[in-house]
Amino acid sequence: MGQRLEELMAGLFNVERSAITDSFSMKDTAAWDSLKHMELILSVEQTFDIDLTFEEIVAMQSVHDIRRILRGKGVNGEYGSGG
Amino acid sequence: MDLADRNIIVTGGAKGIGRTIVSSLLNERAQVGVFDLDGAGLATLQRDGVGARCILCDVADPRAVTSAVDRFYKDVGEIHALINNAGIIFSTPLVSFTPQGVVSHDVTMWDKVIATDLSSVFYMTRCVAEKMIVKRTRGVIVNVSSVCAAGNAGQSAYSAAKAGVNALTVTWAKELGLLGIRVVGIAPGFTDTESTRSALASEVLQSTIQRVPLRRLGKPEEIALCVLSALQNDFITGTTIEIDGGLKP
Repeated sequence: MGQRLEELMAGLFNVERSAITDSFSMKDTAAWDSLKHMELILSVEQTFDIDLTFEEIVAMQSVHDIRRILRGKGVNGEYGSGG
Repeated sequence: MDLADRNIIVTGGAKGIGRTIVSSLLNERAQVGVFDLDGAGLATLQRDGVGARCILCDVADPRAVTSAVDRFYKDVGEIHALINNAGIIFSTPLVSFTPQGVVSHDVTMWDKVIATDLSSVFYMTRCVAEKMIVKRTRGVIVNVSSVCAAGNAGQSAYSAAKAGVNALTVTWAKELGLLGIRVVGIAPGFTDTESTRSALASEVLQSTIQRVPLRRLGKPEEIALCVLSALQNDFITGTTIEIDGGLKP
């Protein structure tokens, strides 16, 4: 099973993959600013070949939120281990 | 971007280069909103029945811009492109030598040119980019700059404003490109418009033409063609295209 979300987030935020848990969030991560958020949107869209709505990109506040959004778009089993 | 049925705002579209850009977009079957402070020019557009939505707006006024963009957005539902074309030309040296003595560049005119040629681009784009992001529109912002951005003697405010516009083009391309929004600059050289002819004395205009490798002024249609190209080519972003007959200030 791929763990592409963890890999994507770890690469984007330059942290160990083990740090990418459900609780990894914008609120607690200084590097997760607005510009990084835009990079995240593009990476998620390209990696999972999806289009995110405005509501979804605003709701992407944590890894937990991203997993929920991906599940809602039918990206089951591809987005990672569940943290 | 295919321009048919796309909703596109052109600032300063009532006359000059802007008016020609509006016509070119309409020829491509785009839905055009013209934002302009020139009420008489807008009335003429309406009277000519060209099919553009005319909105009276001072783009140098941030509140007026927000209100006008909101209105246009509410009417059309989505904004696909913005052409930041509105601007004024003001020519005077930093210091003038007059019979009365030395006179320095007027501060009021400096503020007016910066507001109209630079701040307006910021006011318009912040509103339109927000609408594009809300709708996840892979839109395009075209900033009309000038070859004077490189620095042109006798045009402190205009040159500074256009250099600022070029910087915004690069900055916004880097930021908004991540969301699929492109930002492109167009830098015309001296173009055959009423504003060019009124801003430059006849002898200055003639000597300018002699410095252009193609030995003529640009035509508004040639500038409009460049704008269409910037809109239609989906891989252009973060750059300012010079269209100046080879003239370098």
